[in-house]
Order: sequence, then structure tokens, then C-alpha cells
Amino acid sequence: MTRRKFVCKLIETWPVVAVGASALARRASAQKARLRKFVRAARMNQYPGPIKPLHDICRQGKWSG
Amino acid sequence: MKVQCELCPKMCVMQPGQSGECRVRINVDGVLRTVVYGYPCSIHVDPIEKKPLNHFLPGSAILSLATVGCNLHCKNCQNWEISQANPEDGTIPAEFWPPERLIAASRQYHCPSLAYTYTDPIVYYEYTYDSAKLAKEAGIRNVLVTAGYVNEQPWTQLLEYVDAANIDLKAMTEEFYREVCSATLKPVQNALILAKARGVHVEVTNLVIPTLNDKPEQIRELARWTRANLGAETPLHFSGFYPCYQMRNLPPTSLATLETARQIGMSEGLNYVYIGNIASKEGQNTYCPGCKKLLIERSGHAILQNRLKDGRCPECGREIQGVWK
Repeated sequence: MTRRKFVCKLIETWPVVAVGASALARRASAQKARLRKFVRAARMNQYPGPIKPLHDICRQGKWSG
Repeated sequence: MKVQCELCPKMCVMQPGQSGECRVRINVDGVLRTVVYGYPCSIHVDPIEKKPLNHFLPGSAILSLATVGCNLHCKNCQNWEISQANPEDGTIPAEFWPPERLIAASRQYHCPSLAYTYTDPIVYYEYTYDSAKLAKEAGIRNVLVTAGYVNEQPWTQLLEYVDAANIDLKAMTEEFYREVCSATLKPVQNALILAKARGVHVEVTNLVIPTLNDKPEQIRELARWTRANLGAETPLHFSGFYPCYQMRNLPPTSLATLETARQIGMSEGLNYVYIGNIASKEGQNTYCPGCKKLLIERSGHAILQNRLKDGRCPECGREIQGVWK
């Protein structure tokens, strides 16, 4: 194989190599996270949305579940 | 400084000011914060059959709550108005309900259990965890209604305080989870197996969507997996789909499809297969897997009769899996 052909092949296969490398990196990062101790999120001091009393608590909810 | 949320398999990396995919976990000056802790957008007293749980304190009332947000984005979500809402949008108001207030309300409304439901309790994890811990100490049981899309560590820690869970198993292909829910299948299967292994009472729900996951071989695969990994005694609910959110182009699931699914589930060796979201005479009832006699008769979410005696069939004495008192 000439150097030119080799470079062409490399360019052709580059997307496959990149996808593979990114999948491996993602898997390694997930693995690392599994070993780390889970850290809870801290509470916000204030709710960012509107505050209103909830109604009809003693009645069946309209939501599924 | 960037932060990474390690709660669910999405593992969102957030720049300062950015929230994760769930919209309710945010990077505030390099610290991961939950914006919905103590701020439910919905609280109701539901019948436990609505979760659905058919083998856990039948006929009891359950105080059910949700905050906004979800880590999945199911195109068919029935609760999308709250699950896909941003707290700061202003469309869905919330009220401050610290865990202590939930416990007090459970007592006030005579609810022996608390359900973390409607959206997904995983995204309001810290609120769920603290409330569940406090409830357990107060003798109130905890129920999760979830898609089970969560990492192993936080899930295991939460399960310590969970008595029962209804976990969605939406389909048996990665393609379905990716295309319809923006998620993956494997972590859900792991969550189901872990919950069962930790002694949590588990019921499984599969929403049957026409053309997407309603083929007999798809149903069979799901039933087989459930039996092999969770056991024949695990209740499985086949639920009817209704057009909503981003999936209004498909028809509702027919009763015939759900009845076929139920037959397939039972032919695969599952002892308790139910039909939900649609009126069905036999598909709502519990029958003894031994002598086939009627044990619990239901109509919608109401119990018409419960013939169980100390968790056993009154005819043949067979023990029926569940939490009955």
C-alpha cells in the first residue's frame, strides 16, 4: 500500500474510529462514576417558580400513576 | 466550574447556570442543586390501585405526590404537562411541603403509605429519600412509581426505605427506549432486578402502544424476561395507551390487544397478569394461580370483594405473593 492510499484509507475510516473512541470514553467515564460515592444535590434556597397552595388534596389526582 | 450529576444514566455534565435533562437539577456556582426539594406541584389521596399496585394493601388510600421534571422524555407521556415543565416557566405552581408535612398529611388523611409518583421520583431524589426515611421511621410505607432509570448507587440507597414499587418496563428493545423515551433499556432492567433482590414488593407496568410494542412476540419477550428475572409471582400490568403529548397520531390500545397480551403473559408462566387503563372484567381481578378461584374482585380502582385470608386463598390455602396488611 502506498503512503497516499494509506492516508486515503485513514481519512475514510476516521468517522468510525472517532465513534468507537467516543463510545469507549463514555463507557470509561460511566465505570469511573459507578465507583465514586454518589453525592446528593444540595437544596436551593428558593423555588424558582410560582408558589400557590395545592388544592383538592383529599380528592383523587387527575394525573396518571 | 462544571459539575456532573451522577443520579441517572444520563450523567449530565452542566456548565454553571445550566440544568440537567430533567430540568430540576442545576449547577449553581459549581454546586449541584435540586430546585424542587420540598416543592411538590401535586398532592392527592389516591386509591392504591391507581398506581397501579394490586398486591400491596388493596383498598387502601395512598398520599401521592410529585414535583415537576423527569429524566425521560417519552413522546407518549400522559403527565407531560408536569413531567416536561420547567419550574421557572410559571405554568405549574408548587407549594412548600417539607417531609414532616407529608408525614402529618398521611396521618390526617388516614393513608398508611406515601407514593412518589406522577412524574418520576428519581429526579426529586433527595426529597424522596428524606421523606421516605422519615415516613419509615413514622411507620408509614413508601411506594415508588418510576421508570427505573437510575444509577445503581443512589437506587440502592433509596431502596432501603422503599416498601413497594411499580416500575415501568416500556419495551424490550434499546431502539424503543432511545426513539420514544430518550433513554436506554439496560439500566431499567438492572433497577428492576435490584429492587426485587432488595426485598421490595415489585409490580411491573408495560404500556402497550399500537404498532410500537404491541406485537405478540414483543409481549412474549417482555413476559419471559419478567418471569426469568423477577419471578412468576411478580404482578405484570398491561396498560392501555391513549393518544397524547407528541403521540397523537396513534389509536388507543384495543381491549382485544390487551387481552391477548394478558393471555401471552399467563402462558409464559406469570401468575398475575392484569389489564389497566381500560375496563376489563377478568383483567382487573386477582385469581388463585392454584385453584383458579376469584380472590380479589375489582371495578376500576375500587375493590368489590377481597376473599384473601391472611394472604392465602380461602379455597386451596395457597399463599398469594404480596403485602396484605
